[in-house]
Amino acid sequence: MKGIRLLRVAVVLIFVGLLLELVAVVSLTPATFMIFVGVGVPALLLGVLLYLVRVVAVLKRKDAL
Amino acid sequence: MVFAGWLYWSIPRLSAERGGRMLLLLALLVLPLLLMPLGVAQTLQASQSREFCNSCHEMGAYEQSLFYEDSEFLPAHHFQNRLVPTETACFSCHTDYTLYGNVAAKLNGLKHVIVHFTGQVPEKGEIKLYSPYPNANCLKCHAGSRAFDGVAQHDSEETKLDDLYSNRISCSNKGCHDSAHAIGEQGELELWRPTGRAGSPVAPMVELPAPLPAGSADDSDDLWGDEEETEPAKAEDAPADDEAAPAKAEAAPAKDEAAPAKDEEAPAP
Repeated sequence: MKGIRLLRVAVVLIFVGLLLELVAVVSLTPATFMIFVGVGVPALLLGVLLYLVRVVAVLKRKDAL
Repeated sequence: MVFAGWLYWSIPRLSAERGGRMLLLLALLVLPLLLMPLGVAQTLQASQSREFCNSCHEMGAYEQSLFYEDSEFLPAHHFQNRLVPTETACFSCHTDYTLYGNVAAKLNGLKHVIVHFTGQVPEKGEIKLYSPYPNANCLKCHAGSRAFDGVAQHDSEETKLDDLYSNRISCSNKGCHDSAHAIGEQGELELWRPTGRAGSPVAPMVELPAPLPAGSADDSDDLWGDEEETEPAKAEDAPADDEAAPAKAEAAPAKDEAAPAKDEEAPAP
């Protein structure tokens, strides 16, 4: 259950990051640029990291690593 | 959004089957890692535009300085004669040389945005450069050019070319090329009103000058010419010369302006 929650958080973070990226690309202003760089990129990276943490945890549990 | 919502609620089912796990791999790893660099590159590229700089109202006065009628002012001279790309005019001159210069300019830009949003913006005309304007930024284009190295004032008793190249003497020293944005004088300065093609972001500078009479200096094959013929080139690349020799500078504009207009109207076959 914990793993599912982790993946759901990853989905939300990646969705937020991609949404901010879309806004910045479509309508670039200093504000959207800052929000994308300051919030969107970290959110994307954190989302990917959480997914990888989950994948590594599963693989370790199955002795695949 | 629908896909994200579906993904959110379907994670237990997706992670239980092989196809679902592949979908999660694509959606949560491949897609973000592919799209993020594209978005960053695109926005960084777009943030070099004059429009982007000018989207902070503090920069409005600086953008307006590109339109001073008097070409003694360096930004106006470079912008109006298209000596820098007009769409990235600010970035062209305010980015230090080398890769790190570019990165530093971006970081400074981020700082500016923070200052803008935290309301600590200096008063109009009080905005200063972080450090004296480096000659390297001028030399990006001017280094080695005949119009730069050949100017008498650049290699004289007081000033040596080496001093300019090594930044020991600043190009923007008082009495040299010290007329930049002149925000303080802005109200008194006349502005250039471009009149040209409709829809052009920056209209062509002037209408084409009348052709020179046959047998004039420009018809000769002597590319290097004599001193008189090289004078207009000096006037174009070293506007301070205009101040020193107004009579010469006044005689020159027809040729100065002809060059960009010719380039515009009749590209090389």
